[in-house]
Amino acid sequence: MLSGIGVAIIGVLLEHFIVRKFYHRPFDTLLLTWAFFLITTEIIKIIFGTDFRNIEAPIAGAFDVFGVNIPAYRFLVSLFAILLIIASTAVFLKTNLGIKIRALIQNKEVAGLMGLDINLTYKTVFGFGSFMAGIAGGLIAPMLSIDPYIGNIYLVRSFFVVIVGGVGQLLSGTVVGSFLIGGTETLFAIFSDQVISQAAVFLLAIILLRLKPSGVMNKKNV
Amino acid sequence: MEFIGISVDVFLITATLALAAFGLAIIYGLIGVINMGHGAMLTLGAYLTWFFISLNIHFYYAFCYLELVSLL
Repeated sequence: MLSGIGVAIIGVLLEHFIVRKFYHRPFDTLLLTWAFFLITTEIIKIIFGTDFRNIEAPIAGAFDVFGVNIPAYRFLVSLFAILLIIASTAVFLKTNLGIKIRALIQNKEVAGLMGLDINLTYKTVFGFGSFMAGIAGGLIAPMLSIDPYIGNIYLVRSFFVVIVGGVGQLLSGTVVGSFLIGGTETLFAIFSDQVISQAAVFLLAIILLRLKPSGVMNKKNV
Repeated sequence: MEFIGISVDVFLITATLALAAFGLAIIYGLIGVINMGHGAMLTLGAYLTWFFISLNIHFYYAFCYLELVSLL
């Protein structure tokens, strides 16, 4: 929780000082955030070093269901993740803040004219995204040993999830996308080795994007 | 039996991946910034968690401290 807040603060600072000035130049923000990635990785290397670290899971042990061994911590994290995603989607769909954000996406100029603070809303969204990233990092950390590159693995996978699932489809897109990507990877990792499963994920993403360029769950209403 | 094991595995990976991807989905989907820094934020979250645990900050005490500060 603390780490989520910490990362959210860093994200808001990044947004306030740099990203804010680049909203009308989408490809420059790509370079910009990549630079942020490189710089942060190097700073982490300088401060914490490059060696592996382990965090002990707060809940150890596993339990058996129908003879299947389920690690307790991973199971709890999965439940927590689903709850968190559903809760955020509820915030997005039901509350005042969600209405503001949707208004901003639909039409920026009109939303601004109606007296909506565009900068503040952008900042909230960016901060919330960073917060989610921080929490995710903190929760995933006990599952594997930490080194400065774990973000890399998850960055690529997350991209596939978001693009395959459909940009802008928060609940259904993310869940279906991660089901497709994670499911493919797991199945191929069982029947063959790691490299082939990675290749299969790439292949699946390419085929799906060829058939449905705007994502599996995206309705074509743009 | 094999099938149940595989489906549990798929469920766990799906949820974990959804957790990792959700922040990216928010930033990319809502404000259109392709956040390549997302991986760095994940790493940062993991390291900060490690840092706080190594400092032995119990969440309850931290909370009490914050209450105290806000009261003063």
